[in-house]
Order: sequence, then structure tokens, then C-alpha cells
Amino acid sequence: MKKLTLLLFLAGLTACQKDFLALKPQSQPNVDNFYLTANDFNNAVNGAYDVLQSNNQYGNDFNTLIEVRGDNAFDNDPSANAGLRYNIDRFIEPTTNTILRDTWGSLYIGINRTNLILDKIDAVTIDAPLKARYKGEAQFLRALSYFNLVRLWGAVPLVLKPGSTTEARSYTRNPVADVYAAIEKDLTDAAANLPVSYTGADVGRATAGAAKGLLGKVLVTEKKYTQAVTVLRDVITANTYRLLPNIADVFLVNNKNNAEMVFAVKFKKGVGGALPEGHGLWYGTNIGDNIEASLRAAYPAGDKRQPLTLQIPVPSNVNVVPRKWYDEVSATNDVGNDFPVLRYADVLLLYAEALNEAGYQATGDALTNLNLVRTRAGVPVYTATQLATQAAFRDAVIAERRLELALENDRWFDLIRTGTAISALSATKITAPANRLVYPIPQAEIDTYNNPTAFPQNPGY
Amino acid sequence: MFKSLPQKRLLARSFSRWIAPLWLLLLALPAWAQTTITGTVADGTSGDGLAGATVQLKGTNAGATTDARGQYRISIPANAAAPTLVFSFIGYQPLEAVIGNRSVVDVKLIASDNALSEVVVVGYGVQNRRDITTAIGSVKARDIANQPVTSFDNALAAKIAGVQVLQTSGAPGAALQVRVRGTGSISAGLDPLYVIDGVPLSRDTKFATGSTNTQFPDNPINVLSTINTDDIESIEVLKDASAAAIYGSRGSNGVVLLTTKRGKEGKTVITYDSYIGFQQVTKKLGLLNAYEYATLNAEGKNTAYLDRNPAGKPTDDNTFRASNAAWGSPSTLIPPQVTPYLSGQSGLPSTDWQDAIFRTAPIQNHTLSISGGNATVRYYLSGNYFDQQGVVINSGYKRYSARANVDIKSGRLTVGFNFNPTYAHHDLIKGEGPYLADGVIGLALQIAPIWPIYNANGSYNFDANGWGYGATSILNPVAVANEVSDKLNQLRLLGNTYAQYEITKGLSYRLNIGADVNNFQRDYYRPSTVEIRDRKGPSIPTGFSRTQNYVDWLVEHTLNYNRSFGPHTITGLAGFSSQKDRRTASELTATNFPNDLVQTLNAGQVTAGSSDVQEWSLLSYIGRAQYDYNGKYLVSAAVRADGSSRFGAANRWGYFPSVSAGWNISQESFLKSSSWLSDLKLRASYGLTGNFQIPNYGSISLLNYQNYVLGPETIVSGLAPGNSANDKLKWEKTAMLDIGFDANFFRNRLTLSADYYDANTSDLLLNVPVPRASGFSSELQNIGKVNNKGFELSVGTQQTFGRLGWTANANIATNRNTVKALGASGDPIIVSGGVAGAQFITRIGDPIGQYWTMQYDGVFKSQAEIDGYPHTATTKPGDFRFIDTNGDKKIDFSSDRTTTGSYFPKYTFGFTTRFTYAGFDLGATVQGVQGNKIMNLIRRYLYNSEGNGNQFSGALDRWQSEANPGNGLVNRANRLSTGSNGEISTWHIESGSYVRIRTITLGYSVPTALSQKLRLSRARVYVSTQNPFTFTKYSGFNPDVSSRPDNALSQGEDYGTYPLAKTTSIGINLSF
Repeated sequence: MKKLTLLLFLAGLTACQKDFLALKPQSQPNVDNFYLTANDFNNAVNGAYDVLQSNNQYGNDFNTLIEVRGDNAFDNDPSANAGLRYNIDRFIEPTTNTILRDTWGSLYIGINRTNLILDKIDAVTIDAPLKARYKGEAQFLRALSYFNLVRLWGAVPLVLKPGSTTEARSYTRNPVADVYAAIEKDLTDAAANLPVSYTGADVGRATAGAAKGLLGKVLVTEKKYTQAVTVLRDVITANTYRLLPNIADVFLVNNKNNAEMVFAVKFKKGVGGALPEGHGLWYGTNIGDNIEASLRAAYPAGDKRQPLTLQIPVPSNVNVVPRKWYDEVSATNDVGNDFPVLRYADVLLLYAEALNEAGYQATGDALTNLNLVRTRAGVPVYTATQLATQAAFRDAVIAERRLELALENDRWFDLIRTGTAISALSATKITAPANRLVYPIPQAEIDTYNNPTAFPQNPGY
Repeated sequence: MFKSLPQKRLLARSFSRWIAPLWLLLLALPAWAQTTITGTVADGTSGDGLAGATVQLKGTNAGATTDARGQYRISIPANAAAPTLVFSFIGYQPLEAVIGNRSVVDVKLIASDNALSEVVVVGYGVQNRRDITTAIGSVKARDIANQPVTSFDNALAAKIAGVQVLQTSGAPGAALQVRVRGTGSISAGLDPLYVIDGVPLSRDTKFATGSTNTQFPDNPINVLSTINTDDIESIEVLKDASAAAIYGSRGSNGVVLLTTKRGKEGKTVITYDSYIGFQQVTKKLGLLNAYEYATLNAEGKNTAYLDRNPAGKPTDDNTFRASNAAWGSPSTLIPPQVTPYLSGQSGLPSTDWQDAIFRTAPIQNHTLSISGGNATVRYYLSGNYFDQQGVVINSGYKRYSARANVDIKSGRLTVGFNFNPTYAHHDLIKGEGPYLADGVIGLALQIAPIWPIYNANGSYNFDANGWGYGATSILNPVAVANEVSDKLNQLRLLGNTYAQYEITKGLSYRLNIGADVNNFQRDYYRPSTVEIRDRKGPSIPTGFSRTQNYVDWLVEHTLNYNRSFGPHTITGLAGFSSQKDRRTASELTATNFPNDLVQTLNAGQVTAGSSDVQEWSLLSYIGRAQYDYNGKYLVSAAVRADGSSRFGAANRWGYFPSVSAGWNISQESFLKSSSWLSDLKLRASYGLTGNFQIPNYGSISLLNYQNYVLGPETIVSGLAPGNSANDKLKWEKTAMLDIGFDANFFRNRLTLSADYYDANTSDLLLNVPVPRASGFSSELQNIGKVNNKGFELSVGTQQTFGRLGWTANANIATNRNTVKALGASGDPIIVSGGVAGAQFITRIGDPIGQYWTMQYDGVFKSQAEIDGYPHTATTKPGDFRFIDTNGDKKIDFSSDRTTTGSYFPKYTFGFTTRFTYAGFDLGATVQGVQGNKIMNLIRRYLYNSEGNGNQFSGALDRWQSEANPGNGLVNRANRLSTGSNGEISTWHIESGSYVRIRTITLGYSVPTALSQKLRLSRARVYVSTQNPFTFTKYSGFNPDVSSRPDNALSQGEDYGTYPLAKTTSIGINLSF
């Protein structure tokens, strides 16, 4: 008996330790066994698109950071949510504003996802066209994230490879020019890697046209007009996209993936659960108006785009929303409008603007393309005599962009790149300090780096 | 007391349910008719009768217990040869008396040295109190019995210095917050380790219920509530690291050892313990009535209107107001529903919504046990039924449990088992959380009193949802509470079996195999009759069904050695333990139910399903050696090595050593003969413990599903890393020094115990902020240090004055919590609570999680005051004045924040006392918490003067004009609040100090002469009241509140909580 018990005791001691303690998660995949097959990369690329839906990006906060900041929309409630949105509207946001922090973070989450794809994919054997497409999608999404970052904050860390959290502590704010160079490279590569179009369940992925169109927008922003003319002309002459005859149809939730959409962030309402795919009502409100009266007043009589900015009630809901973003709420209280990141009307206007800036012509493609948009809106076309100078044309095209692309997260950036932000905002009785044309670097990041030389705050904050 | 009809009915029902069976039991008793011996057992010094002493006929099972007067009556079989009685009582030396021809045998017992001879359970063994060299708090069955509480940890409140028990929710079966010596962690769990009869419980089951809302989580359930308090023999709390180090990586938050009752050799004892009572809320909040509310609402609309149209008049009608876009918004229009109240029209609806959701709720508990045994087999068997309805409608908890503890001894081998099956049923309501998360309490406080509960046709009134006029949509709380069905069933099989074999004299081997098997099933259904906020009309029903299964097993081999050689006593322990926990969970969510007829998910469309497995494992080696020289000098050393799957691959094993020493000075020759000093022991200990309550797979970079939509509304599956990898992840470790003494004067007349401790927790797990450019916002790292130090003092006394007996125990504890290091940069951690501005700061040099808010300084009474002090751009007279903390002449809601209080109390105390006189006993327990602050976010709604929901009645003192500034504390009524009054400030922070009378009990023990006629060895009846009085300035329901009890960084927030109940009960204790 003595021996037996001692034996039992010893048997216990020598139990197989290693297997007993090395437990791997069974219900959640982990990085150690991922990025190995074509299907893994398909999932990783889908995951990189997903972040665009985030509440911190196109899901909600871009509306605040871009349209509410600008002169198309406003927030009048300093007591709601500790005034997060109100402060951004009034140019008094503290550096600790959590919308800034979370949007910054969300954009880099997207960048990290694309960096992981681009870093790991070359080591894996995947059918060449498919591999090119995955790379192109990742390049497109990375460029889009950086384009948003650089326009919101100016110089930001340019991270093009996945790094550990320790490595990340040594990142610095790279010059704006370097960031734009990387964006141009990514979009150029993406345009070469991506297909012209998709079928079936792949419709909605980034296309070569989307990459070129976005590159055109980037080049116009950089004022590289000649190059912009070239790539935008490519998009137009490829004849992949067209204007829908009726502007209202572009935004209908039962008309998604229409011929005018060059690239949209896609949503689906009513999914619910842990992974909802819808969003809240954009500009939904029950306490009053939040669309600037000056926007509605800017439309000429009979403009078919004006009604899109009017707020209409949503059935079974206490809120009203602009008709452009109208959808009926689902059982899980969300809606499913897609968000157009780039649509063909935008391409035409960018092209017109680039042509005009590259060299004014009284009658030419610039005027033709501008008028295509106006004709569709049901308003009189401009004549060459009405736009008799380059400056007059410039003013007309920027004004047209406001009307055509209202509430589509372009206006604030258009005001900045044309140097008209402060004057435009003064019309809405808001004083925009000159330094606040870029947002403050989120305080959390300033604190984490704690290095005013390598990681300074933007001036004036 | 029993005024209303329902209560009478309840009493009648309970008679048939439990009083009647009791009498049946009494009648069914067998009759024993033999020689009867009576007598008195008294204290040898004072001559006072000793209540509860045991009298046993030597060599038989026949026995009796003395009554409150010390009298006993025992039957002796006629054929007994030279019958001898054995008298015994805790703290006294046993005595044998030959009966001879006597029929009355009176004895006097001599007190043994002192109460320190009592046995204390320690990790993996027992020790005499005298030999303990560490800080261990001990509570015996009698100290916690008969309290109308769901779970024993609630009865533990106020009993042990340095053990803080906070009842954060009054919901039946909700978890309590038990903290041993402060808070030593920021991100890992804060609960102590519970060990029941040698089986360490997994803490994971606490979260088995999941939540209905992620931002405002449900209060977790109390996993200890399956344990019947009546089954408990003793509870020990291992407070210092040296005592807890034998539990290694799980000891940092203290260890609670629970020992259940076992059968004793001797007479079979049947006991029946029962109580029944009624509960009511301890407090109702004073809110506005419908007329007062209507006035404030209209005043708020007028203010909003006049702010926008300074040329306007309050009498301007809605048509005029709406005519101009500059001021015509829903928020400036006076709702027609409010207008009739303004003219003072009588008979309009005025609903007290608190009355609508609160009720007088019954509670009852019944335990029947049978125990006994002989030299070979000993047993304790019990059955329990507990039924507590909640003080909020449609909530409650029921428990059916049984226990079998059996020991069989045969020669050198002892085998036995403990088996405790329990079935528990929770009727859940969403008590915690604000109105926007279906929080029933929050809804009831905020909904305007102008709405009726029901419409004329009997359906629920939902007019407050989508009222318009700029009002916040609020659902009908009665509908939410009554119609949302949320049921949780738990089946638990807890037990262990052991075999012990004495290899040689002093050396024995023990095998202990334990298991804790839990099955949880939660079914939730939100019917169409409950609207969704901001969405009018019948809602689309939703439901979920969650199943969670936990299997936790434990195998332990230990060798025990215990020998004395002359004055030397050596005790040794060596062991090996393996434990593994596996959780399987599945969940289905459904919606689009066609109607509410069938509420199981088969009737709807299943929209989501998930299934999940999680595991952890722990492998340990244990060693301990103790040496005792003549009871004078005691030293002890122990070590545990823990390997766990939770730790990163590079840090799989942790080592937790400890040492302690004690000196029984009173055993020294110069003190041994002291008449006043019965005992004095100095002790010191030092040890290292860990906290392994970290995520199961925290060291691995996990991928999360991140789906996207493509094509024609097709959901495509996506994956992306959710966290970065950290293969160095390990336990948090706490090194604690404890110095203390235990003293006993005049043979238990006065006992004194004091401890000082200093605990340094390092390798603190922190979600360290990392540059977001890495793609992550934080990473779980072992970084940071926290210090907890404090004093604990306990004083006790036992006195007799003639027939009056008095015992009292008081304890007081202080704890100072200081953060010593944080992250790589040492930057403060600022987190938000239930709302963005409700911030908490954790920074070096301060306690964890102080409030970080603006300071409020009353209202600006006039424009002149505003002009003379920094203010916000929109501030008007009657708005809040915030303090310009940094003195830059600007009010800035980030740079003017400051620390405005901490949820940590400065000190806590407890007091327990008991008087006995001629069969009567009167006891009371008092609990006190002093010096803590609460962030009462309920005030955001109930004290904002916006009028979109109901308000505290204090809003009557609001600023109304420069001529009528009210009490200068409450801002003006304004639907579109200006001056950022809603910013979280000291306006929302209140003192949480309180003194609470926890229990008062008055009992009467039937004299032996009478009880023996009823064939009872003991009969006691009592009335008891729980939580009768709480003395506090706190304006909310319960100053124990914490909306996120498991998040150390944001404690002390009140965002709606289930109020506590005060319970009045009557009960009986019977033994046969």
C-alpha cells in the first residue's frame, strides 16, 4: 500500500506538462495560423474593407469631421455627448476630443490590416491574377486611409510595413509630401493590379477605375493638374462609369452598385448581432435642423439636388434625415445606405477643374464636363461668357462641387485646398482660426510619444 | 405590518407551505421513554450557565445541548452500565462525570487556556488558532446563520477587518463585491479566490450570463449563491500573502476558504432552520410630481425660446414660435400634454413611477438537515429551498439545493465525499444601466409623471416614447419590467471525493478529486408590446438563447507529515495539483417573430448563432514546512510553483514563496503565570502571491471576424487581428509584509488583534496605450506597480453580568491605495465611464481611478457675476459656474479638470454585538464605510433642469430669475441647456459615506423543560430585520453602488442600480 500510494504520487508529478499547459484558442483564429492560403488573404482583404464601415470613419464620424466642420452642416447641442460634435463644429475642440482619437486610430487600424496583407502575401503561392488583385485592393485601401489622414491632420507617421508596438514608439511625423508620394505610388500600383470590373458577389471591390479616379483626386488636391488631367481622362474614356439620368436614383438604397458609383463604402441594415453591417441615420435629428440654411439657399431654382438636402421623416422613428441619406430603419434600428467615396459626377468635376487649372479655355472639355453635371441636375448650363476667366471657372466648379457633392464629405477638403475655408465659414457666423484647418494630433498620441521634436503637436493647439 | 390584503394572503399561503409541514414533522417523531437526568452546566469561575454546551452519554450516540440558561435534560437507557456523562464546550476543558444514583448532575467547566485552541482552516490543512503566524480572519456558522440573504458573502459584511463586502446591486442573486485589503489590480480580476472544501472555484462562471447590452453591462450573478448558508461550518479569509501564497498565482486578492458541516460521531441530529419575511426598498428618491414637472418643463421651453428670441414673451403661443425658423424648434414649443397642468386643472394623471415598479416582496428559506455517525461512518445531509422575490417587479431568485458530506474510516484509510447539487432560477430584469439601455430603474426615475402607466384600454402607455417637442424618448418602465422575459437557470454539481491513507505514524497521503460542473441557460425575449426607443408602434420582437457549460476538474496529491519530538513539532506538506477548466458556450439570436404567442426562438428567424470553447489549465507543486518549539516559537515556510496556459509561452511558470514566524510571548515563563494576560502572540509574515485572473488567450494575437458587404447585399467574411501578441504575458505579483499581534486578556473578557500590512503589486497587467499607428490602441503588458498599505484592528469581548451575557466584536480597517508606476511613459490612464465626460484618472502617486472632472461652484446668480468670472461662451445667469482650476481665465473642459474624489473609503468598520438573557437573545450588526465619493451619473438626467425627463424634487429650488435665484445650487430650467451644465462636475459627485444597521435580531430559546416535551433538543424563534437603517447623505439609492464592479479603473459610478431591500423576517431553529 505504501509503495502504491507513493507510486501514484510520483505518477502525478510526471504528468505530461507541456501539452497540458499549451492551450491554443479553439474558437477564435489567431495570427499564428493565418496568412497562409488564398482564402486567408481573401478574408484579410475583406477585413481591410470592413474598417471603412466603422463608426469612426464613413459610418458616422467623417460626417462630423468633414461636413459639420465645414459650412454644409452644424451641431447646435453643446450638452449632447459632452459637446464632442458641437466643439468640432465651432472650432473649439480640445486635443482630447475622442472623435479625433478614434478616427485617427481607426484609419491606422485599416493601414495595419493592409500592411499585414502586403507584407505576407509575397511569401504565399497564390494564383497570379488573384494575388495581384489582393495586392491592388490593399494598396487602394491603404492609399485611401492615408489620403484621409493627411487631409485631416497634415504630417502623419507613414507606416508601410507592419511593426510591433515597440517599433511603433519610434515612428515620427513624416512630411506631407512623403505621405502624398506614398499615396500616389500605392494608387498607381493599385491601378495596374486591379481589374476593371467585377461580377456577382465581388461587385463593390476596388477597381482600376476607382484607383485612377482616386489618384486624380489626390493629384488635384496636390495641385498637380497636368497629371490629374491624364489619369482622370483615362477614367472617363474607359467608359466604365456614367451619370445616372436622375440624380436622386444615385442614392437610392434599392439602387446600390449603380453605374455612377466608382467606389462606395457598402452597408447592409438589419444584420444586428455582434457584427452589424448597417449604420445609424446620417444627420438624423429630433431636436431641430442641422443642415446649414446657406447650403439649401445656394441651389438655383429647380435644382433637382436641392430636395436631397431637405429633411424628411423616417417611418416608425422620431428622427428626420436628409433625403439623400433616407432609408427605413430596420428591426435592429439601423439603416443601410452606401456611402459614395467617389462617384462619376465627382470625376467629371475634378476633370473640369484640373483642365481649367492646367490651362483655361473658354470653350472646351472643362466647360463640357461641368455642364454635364448641371444638365443632369436640371439647371441651366454655363456659357463661355458666364465663365470668362480661369478664376470665374474655378469659382463655378467649386460652387458646383458643393451643390453636387453636398453631405458627401468633400466640402471641407475643397474649401481647404482652394484656400477659402475661413471666408466660407464666416458666412455661417463661425470663426475658423487659421491654424485649425488641420485637426490637432489626438492628445493620446502626443502623450504616448511624449517627444515634442519627433512628434510635435500641430501649431496653435 | 401585515396591512394589505396581498400580504395576508401570502401569510396564509406560507402557512400551508411551511408551517404545516413542520408540525407534521414534530408529530412524526419517535418516542423515547427512559431515565432522565437533568442539570446545569456552568462556568467554573463565574458560575453562569453555559448555553450550547454538549452533553453526551459516554460510548453512545445519546446527547443533548444546554439551553440558554445552561440547563440540559438527557435520557439514559435503563440498562446502561456505570453511565458517565461527557460535558464539552468550545473554550473549556471537557469534563466527565459518573452519574451514579443521581438524577441531577450539575457541573462546572474550567475554561481552557483561551479560545485560541479553536481550529482554523488554512490552505491544505488545519491549525490551532494558537499556532497561526499569518493574518487569517475567521467566521463561524453561528455568526452568519439566520440572516435573510441570498449568499454567505453578504453575511460576511462587517465581520472581518480588512474584508470589504459591497452589495452593489439589490437584485436577488446578483454578485457582491468582496475586496480583501484594497484593490491590487487594474486590469485583472479583483475577486478573492474561493475554495470550498478544498476545491478552488473558477471565477469565470461569474460572467456566464453575458449581458443584454455591451456598453452598460448587466450586473454579474453571484456564483456563490448556490451555496446554502446553513450548510457552512466556518469561513476563513486568508488576508496576507504568506497565508495565501499556498494558492500561488491565485492568492493576490486574498483567499476565502469555506468549510461545510460534517457529521459528528454520536447522536443523530435533525435540524430545521427556516425563516419567512417581507422586503421593501430601503429608499425612494424624492422626485417632482406631475404639476411640478409640468411647470419646470414649460419653464425650460420658455428659456430655450427666449434665449433664441430675446424680444419674445413667455406667453407667445406655439404657432407664433414655430413661425420663425430662427427660434422655432421642437425644443422651444410647449407640449400640449403639459398645458392642462399649468393651469392647475385637478385630477390629471400624476404617476409615481417608483411605486409602479417597486413592491413588497416575500422571501423564505428552509433547510432540513440530518447528521450523525459512528466510529466508521459519519454523515451530514441537508436539503434547502430558498425563494426570494425582488423588490422590483418581475425579478426574483429561487434555489433548490442538497448536500451530502460523508466520511468513512477503516483502519488507516479514510475516504469520503462532499456532493452539492443545486438548481437555481433567476428572473432577471435590467436593473443596472440608464434609460437608454432598457434600465428599468433609470426609466422609472426619468419618465415624466404626467404619463399614465396604462391606456384606457388596458394596454401600456408609450406616449413618452417619441413624444416630440425635443423630449428624450423614454419607454414605459412597467412594460419593460413586466413584458421583457429574461430567465436564467443554473444547474450546478459541486463536490469532491477524497481518500486519505496513513502510511506511517505522522505521515499520510491524500488524494483529492474535485469537480465543479455548471450549466447555465438564459432565455431572453423582448416582445412586440415593448416599443423600441425613438421607434413608435409595436416593435419587432427579438430574443436570444444562451447556453454555457463549465466543467472544472481538480486532482490533488498531497503528503502530510506531523510529528512531535519532545518540545519540537514538525509539520510538512508536499503536493502536486492539476486543474483544468473548459467552457463551452453557444448562443442564438432571433428576430422577426410574427407575434408574441410563441417566445422561443423557433418562432422567429434566427439571425445569428455562435458557439465558443475556452479553456485554461493550471499545474502546481506545493510545499510547506512548519516548526514549533514548545508552542512558543513558530516558523513556517511555503512555496508554490504554478504553470498556467494563460501565461505567455516565455513566462509559463511562476514561483510563490512565503515565510512567517510567531512568538507566543505568553508561554514564556515570565508571563505564563499572569492572571490578566491569557495569551499574547506576535507574528510577522512575508510572501509573494499572484493574480492569474487574466484573459485565457491574452498572450496570443487573436483574429476577430470583421465582415463586409459586397455584391447585391452579400455579407462576406473578413478577419483582422484584434490585439497584438505578447508572449511574455504573466501573472501579476504581490509581495506583502504583515506584522501583527493577537492578545487575550482575562480569559476572553477582552481580545485584541491588530495588523499592519504593506503590499506591493508589480508586473501589473495594463492595457498600455501604444501608438495607434501600430494598428492597435493598447496592448496588455505586465507593467506598473500599486501599493496597498493599511491597519486593521479587531477588539472583542465576552462578559456576563449575572444572567445577562454580552459579546461584542468591533473592527476597523484602513487601506491606502497608491499607484507607484504606470506604463513606459508613466502617463496617467484616463478612462471614461458611462458617458464621455465622466472621466477617471489613474496616475502615479494617487489611488487608482480617481474622478477627473470639472469643479462646480453653484450657479451664476446674475450677469454681473458672469462678467466677473471665467465662463463658457454660452453661459447665462442661472447656469453653472465652473472653477477655472488652472487660472488661465478660461473655462476649458479638458485643462480645467482636476481630481474630485475617490471611491476608496478612508476607513471601514464593523460592529457585531449580542446580548443573552434568560433564553432571549438580541443581536445587531453595523457596517460603516467612510470617506469615499460616488460619481452619481443619474443626476445627469434627474438634476439637469432640462425638463425632458423627471427631476429630483430639489429642482424646485432652481434659479428662476436674478430676483429669485433659488438656493443658488440648481441651474435654471432650460431645454437647450446653455453654459455646459451637463458637463460632469462635482455637481454629480457626492459623499458615499454611510453607516448601515445591517441586522437586528431578537430571539427566544424555548426552555429545555418545554422543548423536551416537544421532543426537541433545541427550539428558538426569532424576528430579524435586515438593512433597517442606513445613515448617509448620498442622494441615490445605495452608496455601495458601482456600475462596473469588475473594472478597477472606473469604480464608484452610479448609472442606475437595483435598490437594496430592507427585510423583516421571522424564523425558527429546531433541533431534534
